[in-house]
Amino acid sequence: MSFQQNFRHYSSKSKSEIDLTLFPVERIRNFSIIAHIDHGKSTLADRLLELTGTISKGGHEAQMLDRLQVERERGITVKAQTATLVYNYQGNDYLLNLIDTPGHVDFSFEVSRSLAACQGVILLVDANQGVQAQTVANFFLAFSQNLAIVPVMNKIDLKNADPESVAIQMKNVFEFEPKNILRISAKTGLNVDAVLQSIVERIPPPKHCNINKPFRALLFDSWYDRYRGVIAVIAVIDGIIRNGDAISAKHTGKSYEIKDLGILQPNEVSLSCLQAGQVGYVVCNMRSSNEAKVGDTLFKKGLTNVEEVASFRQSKPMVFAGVYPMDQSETAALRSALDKLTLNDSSVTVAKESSAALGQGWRLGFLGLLHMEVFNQRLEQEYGAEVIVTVPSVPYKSELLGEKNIKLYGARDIIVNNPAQFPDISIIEQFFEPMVLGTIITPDVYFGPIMSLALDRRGVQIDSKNIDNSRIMMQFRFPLNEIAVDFYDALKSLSSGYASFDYEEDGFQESDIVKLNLMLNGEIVEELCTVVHVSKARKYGKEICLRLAETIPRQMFQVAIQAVIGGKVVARENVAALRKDVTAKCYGGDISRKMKLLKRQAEGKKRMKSIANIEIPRETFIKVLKR
Amino acid sequence: MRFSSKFFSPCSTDILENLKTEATMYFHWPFCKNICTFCSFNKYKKVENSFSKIIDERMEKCLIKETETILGFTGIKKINSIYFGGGTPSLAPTTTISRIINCVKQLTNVDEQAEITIECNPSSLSMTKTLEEYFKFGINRVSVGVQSLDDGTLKVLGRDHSANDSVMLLKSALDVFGSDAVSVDLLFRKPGDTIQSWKNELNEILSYKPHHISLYELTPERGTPLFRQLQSGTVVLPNEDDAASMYILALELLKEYGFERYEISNFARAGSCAQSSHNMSYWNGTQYVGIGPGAHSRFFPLGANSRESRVQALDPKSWQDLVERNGHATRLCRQQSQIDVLSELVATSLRTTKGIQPKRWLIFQPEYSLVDVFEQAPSIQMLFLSGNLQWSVDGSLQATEKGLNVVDSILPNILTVLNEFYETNKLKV
Repeated sequence: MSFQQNFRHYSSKSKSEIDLTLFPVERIRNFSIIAHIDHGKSTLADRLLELTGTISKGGHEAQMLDRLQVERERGITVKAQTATLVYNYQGNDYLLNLIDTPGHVDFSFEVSRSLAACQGVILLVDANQGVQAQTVANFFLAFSQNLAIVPVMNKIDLKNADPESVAIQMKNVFEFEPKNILRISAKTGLNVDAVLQSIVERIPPPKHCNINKPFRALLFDSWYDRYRGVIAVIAVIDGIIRNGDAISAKHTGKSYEIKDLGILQPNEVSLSCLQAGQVGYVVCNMRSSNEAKVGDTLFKKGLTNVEEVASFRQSKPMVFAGVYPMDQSETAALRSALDKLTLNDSSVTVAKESSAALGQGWRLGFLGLLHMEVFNQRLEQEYGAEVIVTVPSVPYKSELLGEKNIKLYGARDIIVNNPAQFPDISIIEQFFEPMVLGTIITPDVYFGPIMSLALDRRGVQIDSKNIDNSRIMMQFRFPLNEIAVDFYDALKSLSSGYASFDYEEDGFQESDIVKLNLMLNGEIVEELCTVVHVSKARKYGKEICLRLAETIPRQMFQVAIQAVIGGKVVARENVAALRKDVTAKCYGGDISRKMKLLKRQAEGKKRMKSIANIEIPRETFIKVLKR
Repeated sequence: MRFSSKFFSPCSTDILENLKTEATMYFHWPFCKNICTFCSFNKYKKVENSFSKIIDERMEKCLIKETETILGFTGIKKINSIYFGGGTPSLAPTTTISRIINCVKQLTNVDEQAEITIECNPSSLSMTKTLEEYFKFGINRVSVGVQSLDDGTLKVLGRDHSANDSVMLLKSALDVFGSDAVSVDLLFRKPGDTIQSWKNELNEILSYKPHHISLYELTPERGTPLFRQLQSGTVVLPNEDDAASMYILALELLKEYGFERYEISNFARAGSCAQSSHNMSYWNGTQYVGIGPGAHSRFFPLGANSRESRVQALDPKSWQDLVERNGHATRLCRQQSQIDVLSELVATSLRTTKGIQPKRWLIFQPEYSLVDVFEQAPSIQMLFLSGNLQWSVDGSLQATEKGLNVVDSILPNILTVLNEFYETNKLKV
């Protein structure tokens, strides 16, 4: 997070007029808005904040809750943000806690941890675009957590809005009765008050809360402030918490003293206490976001046998990619940029990686593809660091063969995140690859092309149904590896942008995967090796051989580029030997310029990696490895 | 082949002392009637008028004065060859050329057989008479700047002569000086060249039976009109692949006609005496003294142990002023380290078929032989294995026929090995 934003948050901190002790649990509602990208979630959130007087109308930046630059630019929310609103319903003040969720494919983990603090959600659907793949994914997340769902159709003021057929879709996919669907325009404010009323009416207050028990809370979000350390967002389940209280964290076992607490509106507003059922922030000298484990339970220090609020689950990276500085001299700058960003996003795993071709770098693990993209954009935009990101890979599970090997690795199943560390095939009983359940919603005219794309990506169809007269919902089981590179782009381009896609993890599946080795004049080049399904090996091998043949500069001898599986060559290209590389010029007495040029060339050669005596410039590796 | 450095080292100082007494001389005449679009040498357009005689006289006086001064800085006793280049030296009055030769002869020993060359442009000679004069006062070799035999191409390149002028000059030169003493300069990869047209051009030149041909690839240099024309797209050169084909075709054709390539760009009839000894001296580390605007030198000042690299003032006017004031117009003078000298020796001699000769190497590096430095280096092993580099019977490190074609790829490796050898053995550079 940039300095300015931090500064803004810090300076806007003020004493609130709100007295939280006036709100018993029955008059608290915790809810999220879930929607497909661009369906108007942030606009609705802004409108709710305005209507309740939490922020002044128009006197703020667009879409208050999107704090990060990249979020504003792309209209998506990555980090969940939270705001507390006070709403008067039939003469009583209610405390509404809007828990904002990330709005895109691939942050389902973030979504689910936000939802753990809620009792209900607003499911927002664009009256023009209708139900999209992500709407479906988010619906099922909320549904599986037994949350109350308030269906809302947005943008009904648009000229080409089609509320009737969208209502049919919502009926077909989610079984909502059309009469229960609110029809609003967040942009104009039309019917937004009905949303507030429905929140109070249809969403239950926090359950299992007891103000008389000792303090216990769920930590469901955190971010890092360079002046105050970690700011943790919590939902209080039991008891009361005040400044100066001593608390412990169940999962990390560490203890802290509360330095500051309050609610988010959406900037921090300091208060004297938070009590059962309420949502707010605490500052307690946590040094890094690693300490603030999302899903962890905080409790009054000294309590024993504390029951966990939610079952804690460590986020699990599913997509890996190498990240290297464009220039090796920028290594230190990239390291510090990574450090800063991971302070704010503990779901990214970081491991040092060193490549002979690309130098010192890091292998990062991301929750999903968009997570990776957003992270890289943040890296480039907020820190101005130019980075090389390698083609993403997925973790493979391999079951080892023989007791000796199991003992050696300490487990029967090992997970390999990096093709370079792929174990020798002879000690492997069986490979498993990660799978996803993908949902595609599209106008039915694109059914054919999407079907062939899915089959090409080794998709197996699970389900297909019409959700209205012209739209169809298809579900496939895909290997994650197959959708990791350019699947989303391919889908968008063959459906002219109309098809939407989302996926959820779906375990591992036994798979016939092989390690594809790349050889130059018979020598294996580790950094170009990759793991592919056997059916794709030849095609991929051919592709990468061609790309290499185009980028490896001609040498003084022929270069054979081979893609090899086991001992078998599946693809081959040649780079013909240089015919002439000599300046046929008159070099009499004036050779100073020639010497200067030679010196530069000699220095350039030092920076090249030599494999089997073939000099390969760094750019070649970048071109081949970069996604 | 392993040559013990011990064997040579006792007398290497004598060899170096001997080297300091010999040199070749280069004289630069900076004026041209017309500027060629591709030329990046130090040249100035000079209009013929009533003042030009005065300019020529002043030029002559200064060339002679600088010769006296610079030679005075050195211990040079013998001049092995003299070369008049430019610009267009054949535009200079014949008397100037003659006086300069006499001046050198007075200051040093110049053998009867010492090679004395002048570059001749077809535009500047009316013709046979001048050539005969040259011959009479001791010039014994001419280099004819034919460049192209296509009138259209000559025009594009800004040459001020026709193909026919070139042929006439070439024929007279052959008549006056004999086949072994005439060289033809030809350019390839010219605008409009095709592989076939290049072959025809080369065949025609060969039909006049010169014994020496220099082939230069038209290389667009920053700052030349040609460079700008290429950038704006008004002129197009054949692509790199065709350029390679043209060079390789020339190699084959010249071989067929009995020519040997003795350096990347230089070809002489086998069995003739047509090789240029002046150029060979540049490439084997002999001292050279360059006189005139922008001329380069490499020599050991009297009593000094390190070689100097010198460049004279570029612009003729300031060069003359400086010479008149100081006796010479050296603008840049730098002491060269041992590794500088060796690098230049390597970079130039590896472009010749003879390669780096151990006896030349040991003059500058008596402690470690060529073999010591290069035989074990892993990074150049592949160059030997792939047939690009070889050791000759006499212990020279050479690029093979194939290696010469790609020597620009080889040289950076060789220089890296040399530098690393100095670093690992902590030698004083």
